[in-house]
Amino acid sequence: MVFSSLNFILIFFPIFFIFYYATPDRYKNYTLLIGSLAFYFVGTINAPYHFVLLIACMIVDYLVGLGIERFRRYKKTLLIAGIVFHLICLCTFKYAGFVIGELGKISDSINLTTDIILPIGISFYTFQGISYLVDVYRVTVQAEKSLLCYCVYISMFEQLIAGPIVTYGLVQYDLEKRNIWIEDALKGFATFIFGLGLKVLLANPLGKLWSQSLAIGFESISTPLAWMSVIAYSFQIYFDFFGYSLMAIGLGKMLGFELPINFNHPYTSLTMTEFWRRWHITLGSWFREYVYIPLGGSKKGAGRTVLNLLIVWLLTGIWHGAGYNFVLWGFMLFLIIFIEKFFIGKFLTEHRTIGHIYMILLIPLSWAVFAVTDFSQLVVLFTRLFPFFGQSAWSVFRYDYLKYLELYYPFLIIGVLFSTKLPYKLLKRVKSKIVITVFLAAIFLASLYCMYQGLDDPFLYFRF
Amino acid sequence: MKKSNAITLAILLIFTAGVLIFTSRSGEAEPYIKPGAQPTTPDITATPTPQPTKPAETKPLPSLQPASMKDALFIGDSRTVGIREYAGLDDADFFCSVGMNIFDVTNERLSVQSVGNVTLSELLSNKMYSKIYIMLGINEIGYNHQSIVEKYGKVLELIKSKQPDASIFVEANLHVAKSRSDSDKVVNNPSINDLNSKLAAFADNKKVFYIDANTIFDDEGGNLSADLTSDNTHLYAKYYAEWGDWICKETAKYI
Repeated sequence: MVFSSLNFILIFFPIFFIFYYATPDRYKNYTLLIGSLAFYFVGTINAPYHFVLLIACMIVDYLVGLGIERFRRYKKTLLIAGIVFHLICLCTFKYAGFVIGELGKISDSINLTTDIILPIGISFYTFQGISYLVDVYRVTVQAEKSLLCYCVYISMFEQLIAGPIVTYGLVQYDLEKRNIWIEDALKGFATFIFGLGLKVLLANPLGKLWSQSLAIGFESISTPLAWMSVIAYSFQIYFDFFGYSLMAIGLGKMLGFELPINFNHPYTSLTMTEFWRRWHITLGSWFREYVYIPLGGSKKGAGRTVLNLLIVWLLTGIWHGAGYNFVLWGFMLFLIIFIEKFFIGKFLTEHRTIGHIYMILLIPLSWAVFAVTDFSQLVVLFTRLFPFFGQSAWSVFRYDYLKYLELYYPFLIIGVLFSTKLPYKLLKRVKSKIVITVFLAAIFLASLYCMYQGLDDPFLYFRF
Repeated sequence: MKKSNAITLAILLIFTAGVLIFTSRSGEAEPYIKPGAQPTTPDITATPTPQPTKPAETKPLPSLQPASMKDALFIGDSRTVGIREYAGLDDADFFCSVGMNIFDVTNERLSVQSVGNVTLSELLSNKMYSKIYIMLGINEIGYNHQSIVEKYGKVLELIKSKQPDASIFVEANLHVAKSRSDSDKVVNNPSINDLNSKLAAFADNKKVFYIDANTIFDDEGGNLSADLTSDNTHLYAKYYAEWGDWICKETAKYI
């Protein structure tokens, strides 16, 4: 179930929260667990073993966590066993299909069916489980004695599917006991609505511009349209994920949890290094805490630092997907960050205008590598972005970019605006509750309308 | 604590059991919607559709010049928009928009280059055409086919009354790719074939003709070739030029 769906907003959300707020405080975790399991069940209805996998992971983590704390002699073995279990699950579901497919291309004798569907949320709950076990091992947190609290930690629906990746220490006290003030719940609801608006009113329409270019075929788009498309994709992926994270944080607040922020105006960054401290913050923290630092970080000399960076960025790449373009993308990020760390980073930070221009070019180009899984298609796209190799900058349809500019300019402009800090600063300054309420009501109704439009007529649901 | 753990474990086990029982009751899990029977016409499976795999070059007619598009009008939906943008038939007029369907085509006011914002009726009164092409049906494919055909007939009557000398070319709706056809209850090739065959019945081969571009874009199975599309529905723009050429050559066979 997606947060930005009528099913969630009109059915799950009201029913769940009525039960949740009606439940006495000491039983709220039961309601949350049952609601979250029901939520995940609906999401995995076509692949029920994914549901069983989640249950298995939670029980394994709980037992291994207790084991690490109780049996100090075997704590390392238990930790490794727990991590390996998670990695086997993740790698099987995420990468086995791709690997088998590639081996099949090399050797005809390998001819297995590779129809493995990825369990939703596995990339997130696996990482949360690993972080918990490592934290118990490091004695940063105490092992959770309550199976209920642990299961709520992993499965609570607002962060199960798409993060933020919550480390156990952030919520351990709230899991046991939390107060939910009406003010906080309302702020949470407001955050949820704002996130919903970013996704439905901004990300979804801009995503259509990118899909248009895909449908036309990169070889047939003009250079201006190619740039518009990659910029649209950059906005889509940002507002989609940022919006979703805000919805998760808002729901968390309504449940009584303070979830960590995941995005901090990443498109205002001056360097790629800074970008990855502002983009998907909880993922970057996870890789730093549980991969980079255990490998030695930057404390073992320049050579080792470079190797550690390479490992982290390749892993970050493939965490996002099983495909060569993700490896390429991860490697590209490593190269950029390496060059910044050892050569140009300081210069960019000190010359802000140049830093901004540098990032305004680099962001859409790096997302292009991320977005296009077929390498030959990626090459075609780059020849359209940089038409210096013979092909004309224009397409057969001479003014294609004007057509799409006319259709999408409001979204592109709002996208630029909401990539800056300005609108957020302005919103924070508004004191009048009436103004905020009207603003949020407008966003909410507009979002509902757009979601409804998609379901208006099942026969005309896809306009040709 | 122990009581809480027991209750939690019970909840987890009950859910797991429930999931497994639910699955075994509902049979094999289907990630896709099964291609079901059409909500409308019952006789789609009986509809024969010739599916040649080679393009029209198997019928060589070297003496025919491709028809000129100078006095041609194209009426249609997003496929026709694609023809306007990418086929290179710049001499023709186009009355088309994304989402256009047979029920709205007589009401809508659209912008036609060098004419202005007009309805179909106004456009047909404004200028005489020798060839009028019409491709509609995919956006309303889920509706009752008979009602589509009835309205289509009325639109053809309107065109004939305003343009008695024009040759009218009813264009077959393009197929979708196999993976879409197999998984979409509404937009699938059996349904498209059924509608196309009913529309083909309008052809009298004197003034009204039926042409089918699926002959150049289909694969062996009678579906749109998967190589020609990224979304299983729309042709890549680079194939529209081929489509435009085919239209000119195909027209020349008839008039």
